[in-house]
Amino acid sequence: MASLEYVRKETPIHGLQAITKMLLVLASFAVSFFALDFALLGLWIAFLIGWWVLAGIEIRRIGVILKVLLGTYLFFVLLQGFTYRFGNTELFRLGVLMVGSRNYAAYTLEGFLFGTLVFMRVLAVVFTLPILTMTTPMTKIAATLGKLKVPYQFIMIFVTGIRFVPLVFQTWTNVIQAQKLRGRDIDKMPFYRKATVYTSVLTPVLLYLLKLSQTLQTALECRAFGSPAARTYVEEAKLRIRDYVAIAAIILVAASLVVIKATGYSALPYILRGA
Amino acid sequence: MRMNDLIVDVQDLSFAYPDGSKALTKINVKVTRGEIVAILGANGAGKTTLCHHLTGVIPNIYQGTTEGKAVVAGMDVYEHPVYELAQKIGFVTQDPEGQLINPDVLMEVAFGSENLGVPREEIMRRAKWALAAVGLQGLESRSPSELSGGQKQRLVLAAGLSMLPQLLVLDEPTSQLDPIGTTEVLNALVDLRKKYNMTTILTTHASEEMLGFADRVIVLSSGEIVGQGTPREVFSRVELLDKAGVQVPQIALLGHRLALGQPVPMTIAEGKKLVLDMIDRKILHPRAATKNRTSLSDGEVVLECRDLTFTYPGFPPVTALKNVNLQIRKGEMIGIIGQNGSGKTTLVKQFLNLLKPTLGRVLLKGKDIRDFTTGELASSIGLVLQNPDEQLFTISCQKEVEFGLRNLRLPDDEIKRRTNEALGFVGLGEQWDTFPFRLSFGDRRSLTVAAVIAMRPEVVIMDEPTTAQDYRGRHRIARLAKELNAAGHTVIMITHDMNLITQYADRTVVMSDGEVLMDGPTVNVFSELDTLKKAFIKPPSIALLDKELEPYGVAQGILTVDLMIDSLRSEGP
Repeated sequence: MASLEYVRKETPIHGLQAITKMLLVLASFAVSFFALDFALLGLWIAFLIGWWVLAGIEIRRIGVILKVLLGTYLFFVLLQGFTYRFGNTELFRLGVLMVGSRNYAAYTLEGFLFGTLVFMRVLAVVFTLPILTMTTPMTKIAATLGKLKVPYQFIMIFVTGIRFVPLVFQTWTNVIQAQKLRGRDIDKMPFYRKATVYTSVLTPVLLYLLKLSQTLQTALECRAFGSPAARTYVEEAKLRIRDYVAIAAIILVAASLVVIKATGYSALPYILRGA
Repeated sequence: MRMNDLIVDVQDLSFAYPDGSKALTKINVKVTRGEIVAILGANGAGKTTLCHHLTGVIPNIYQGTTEGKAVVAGMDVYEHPVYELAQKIGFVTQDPEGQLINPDVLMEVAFGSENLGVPREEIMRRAKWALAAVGLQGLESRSPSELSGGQKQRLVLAAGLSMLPQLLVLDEPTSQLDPIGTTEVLNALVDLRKKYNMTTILTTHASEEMLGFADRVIVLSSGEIVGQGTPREVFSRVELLDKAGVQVPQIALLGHRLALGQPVPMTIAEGKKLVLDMIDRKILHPRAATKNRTSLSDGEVVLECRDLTFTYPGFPPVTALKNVNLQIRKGEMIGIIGQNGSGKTTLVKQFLNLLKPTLGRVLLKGKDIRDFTTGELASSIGLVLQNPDEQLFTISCQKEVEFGLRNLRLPDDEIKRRTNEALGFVGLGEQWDTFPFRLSFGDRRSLTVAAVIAMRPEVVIMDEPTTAQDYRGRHRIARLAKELNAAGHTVIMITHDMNLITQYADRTVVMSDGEVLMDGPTVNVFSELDTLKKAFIKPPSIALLDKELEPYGVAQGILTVDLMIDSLRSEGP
């Protein structure tokens, strides 16, 4: 999560309004649901990576995301490999587990490909998140949600939640630092001992955060959060030409992919009949 | 006093926390609109609890047993939620970290006004004014997490100011500010009173700053009001203040000790008049030389920075240290002073590898510290950081102190001996089995100091150890540092308390904008008034009085009340 924090830069994507980038997230959902195909999803992911480049987001972060989602991918390909109902091309089998005419102990090529395709669907959505969160200050997102009439209490839960993520990391680092300063040589400990130290750090971190959350509650209420007054926003969410251009591009690409899929196109028509 | 002029009406207010500890007893306070009231008292006197009542935090967020009533801005605090009270009452609490909610400085300042539905243009105008008032202009787009401790305190203060409440309650708002920053903030409050008739109630340990600022001073002790009046009336009662653990302003203390029974001087001009009068009447006989130390130690160099530069990454990157060259010798007692954000904490973090130099090197006894881990360096260099809450991680004060000693693998009897000694030193001997988070903020700070000094490192560094400490606590820690120094430890202390620096540090390093602006014997540094001003440093009043007395044959370089008395009461050189 820490790798998705807002990074201040001057790029064309940073200059776009939050609503434009939220539209990109929505379009990603639409493409991943209505254009489930290797080639089409691949094109959409390539389109998103283009946004990454324009936003100055390091491409190495793709590796971080893939690493984090590796477990999810393995889950999808294992599950689908053994259970995909159109699976015919058996790659290997663990034994025999017949349910009706289907052997659920047999791993199929079609299941593997479908699992991969579902994972691509997840990637198509996940790849939009850094574009939104790393290029848009939370205040702009909050202001945009406010303009969209999302209740402010929900927005604040969202914003303070996000605010707490770096704070947890920071507190964690500071407590570890304080332990090092008292002669606990964590840097030279073997892995299993480090794990013990990290467990012992949890309690003070949680205690500190609990205390901090009480201070935060006081601060929020003392600054009239929850006041019945009609809230105003300093952040302006007016669309500019660059936003209209970006919105047009998003709609054009996403709609094209969905239409292509709707017309019956499939990169692997014979294998993935159900997709 | 007309009733509708009253903004605070507290009657017979008593309060006890759920554990039974009594925090306030029969408090009666009336404050009129536009008044500026300072509440003084030692740690644990009940200042914060009173603030919580004035803002409705008690009973809305914290509960306990209450008697009496508190009506603020026409609202009984027991009958209104905090967000309703917040429309008329602003509250800035002591700990800035937990009050920062937003991702950038501008949004932080705007947040309260946005919640109150203030139009955008007005919010921007207020934010600009408030940020300028606390000296944070130009940092609007910075993330609060990138600011120094003092800058964070300025930011929460700006956030409170910009809401333009009828009553502003500030709990130790200047505890982490540099002296000139403190003056700027107080001036902003006076400005608000002039423009909007805003009432301010603030708690503080900075007695001296309240002269010429507060209309009224209330002294709390063990939850009771023991003194009340104009600053002049209250600060004249030196014995009362001393008993309540409140610092007496330096000029008042000097006057009280020189001329017991006479009206106590408050300002430098009054102090000068009294001293000259007593010299004329041959009661005082100034001596031309001081006993101040004007040379530096020539011991072995224990720590050295060579061309040290450090840049925090970010957009844009911030260079916090610029080509710093510094040698710290064995047995020195050094004070590091400078404006908030001048690079003091960044500098000492380099000594323990907590931050690694961008350019240049740090050497511990000639060896590059990059060759050591922080854990290894901790046995030679002890660092007490600013926030105590991130440095406490065990279930009792005793275990907290023992933690480092066990890492040093000392025998049990030695651990026990050092633990008792360290806890006793900081005044926590009787609280050895108390859970650290149950201690007051000041006592939690003392505990972190005890935990480090028990390890007896060769170099002890204290980063703002006196923040939020009362007068006695501050001097207790500084005396402790001096005792460590006398026992052969090298001590480095970062603080904004110039009285402590001038009283205890032999050498002073002044930092400004990431550079070492001055470095030398404390007495020499504090004689450079113009340079100090550039670094936002205000010398103690006694030093300014001494300068005023130069033409009359009074010795120069006097930085403490004791030395001034010693110098004036002598018969000759």
